[in-house]
Amino acid sequence: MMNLLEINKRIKQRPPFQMIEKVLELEPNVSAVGIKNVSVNEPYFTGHFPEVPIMPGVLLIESAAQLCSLVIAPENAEDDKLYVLLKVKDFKFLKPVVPGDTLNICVKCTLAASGAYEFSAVISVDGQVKAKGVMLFTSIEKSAVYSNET
Amino acid sequence: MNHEEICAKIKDMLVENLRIPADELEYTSELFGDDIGLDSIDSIEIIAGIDNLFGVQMTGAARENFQTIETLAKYVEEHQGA
Repeated sequence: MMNLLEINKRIKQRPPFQMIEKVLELEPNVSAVGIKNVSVNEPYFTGHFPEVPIMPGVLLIESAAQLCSLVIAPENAEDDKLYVLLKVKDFKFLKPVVPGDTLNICVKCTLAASGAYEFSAVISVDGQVKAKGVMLFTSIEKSAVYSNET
Repeated sequence: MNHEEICAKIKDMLVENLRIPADELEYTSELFGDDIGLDSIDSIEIIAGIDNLFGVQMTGAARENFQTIETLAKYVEEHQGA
């Protein structure tokens, strides 16, 4: 179990783009279960949508991706590396996520080979699956992000 | 495992992971050229898939090894158990 302060030591995202608030289970390089509370005060609800607030699907993917980064990034991660999302496969948004929901985010590593990591993710609220899919990650040198090299 | 078996396993992996229609994928199809049109993200999945299937590391391998299923299989044969 990790609280917000412990999570902040491990992931770089911050409000309003921090999508994991508590970690219930974490098995390094294998799996994790995390929590995010969805508040009506989230800035994106202003526009998505004014009369019917729905959490954008891309942010559900982001919440799962942030949890995956906790699973694959070692505790003493090298500071010159960044874990990046390469590919999103077969994500489905089965039911809308709305203010007041508590996301239970479950990610499992299904492949770790040659620096690539594939995860399956299931996001539930009160036991009902809201979204699920597969994501592919790798690590890159931070210095390469703004270089012209491809 | 013989050459044909390695080619078949690689083809299955490409069909499964990269969603390439099996009937469009010959062992000599140009994976990154006009035939199939794969990209750099696909190459990372191929490298991970080859590592997972055969325990062969292709990170940093020359581009010509990725041309076709045949060339991938040849690389695996030459480096398996190395």
